[in-house]
Amino acid sequence: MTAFLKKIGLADSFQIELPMDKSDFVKTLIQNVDEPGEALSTTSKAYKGTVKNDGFELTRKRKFDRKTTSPLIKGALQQVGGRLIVEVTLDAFIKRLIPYYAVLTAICLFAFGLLLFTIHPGNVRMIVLIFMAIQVVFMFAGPYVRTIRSVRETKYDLERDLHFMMKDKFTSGNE
Amino acid sequence: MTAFLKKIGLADSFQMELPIDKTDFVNTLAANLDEPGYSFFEVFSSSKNRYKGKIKNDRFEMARRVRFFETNFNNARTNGSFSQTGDKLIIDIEVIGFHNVMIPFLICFVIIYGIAFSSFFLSGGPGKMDVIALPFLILHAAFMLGIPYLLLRRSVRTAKYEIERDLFFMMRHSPRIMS
Repeated sequence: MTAFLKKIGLADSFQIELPMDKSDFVKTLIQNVDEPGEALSTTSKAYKGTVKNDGFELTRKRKFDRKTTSPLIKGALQQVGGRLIVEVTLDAFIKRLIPYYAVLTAICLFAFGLLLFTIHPGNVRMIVLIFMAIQVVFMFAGPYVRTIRSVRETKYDLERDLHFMMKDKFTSGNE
Repeated sequence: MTAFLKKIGLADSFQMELPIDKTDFVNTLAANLDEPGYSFFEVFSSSKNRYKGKIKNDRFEMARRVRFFETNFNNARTNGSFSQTGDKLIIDIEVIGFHNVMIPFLICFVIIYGIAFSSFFLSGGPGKMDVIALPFLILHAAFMLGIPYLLLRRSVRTAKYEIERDLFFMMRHSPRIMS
């Protein structure tokens, strides 16, 4: 299932390597992340969620990402020598899309059925059919496109933001 | 002009320091910028770069690239100048959310609402509708000017936030930032 989701762009997993200590990373990340559930918080932090000693679970706050909802960001921390390896998985909450698509499919079936079986054939039917087909394509594709875009953007932004948060804490990785 | 824009929040400037050499910075930035200029095919470009712009004589100019289906106001321009101080590079960055293209819209705005208000005050005798029309007109004008203004202000804030992080992230492979 996850492999399929990754293939169609609704999930992703990747590694971020940072030359630093795990304890430093956890400490800095806690400072830069809001507690979960602070919808109206006015801090300038871009993420909210929980940070533990060996992992974190974050979502992006809407403030800096008004395009769409954020995927769930899960990270596992692993220290290898002087380097910290962060295993990140992104999950786009596809369960939230299921009701939307179910209702949409029902409406489409109803509309097409109405069109094909009740209206008398004629020139108008063809035009209506084309318009409806275009609309259906957009209605189906819209949320999907937005979701895969949010996954892609989050992948870039998370890597960037982690680097930026930790910029004063890097130790030389060659030690 | 810029001072006024800064005062009303449509421009902003800040400074950042990077432990990097100037030549490194210029090379990396150049690799991360697309050719400037507008073209219809820009949205179809497969380039991975997020910005387009140019670098010239210790100055650079950049703006977000237009992407397919991306209609949010994220196209604030960024002007930067950099100078080497010791082993640090000081980058002065100015973010400007106001484009000269918007001046005709502003003029249209003034003319249209000028006509509306003057015709309201100068024509005919007082009627019952005045009480409704005047607040409605004021509200309408406030929204027509206020919403684009808020969007632009937001684009400046977002651009400031993004550019600082993006610049640092571009330079991350430099030996003195992280090896």
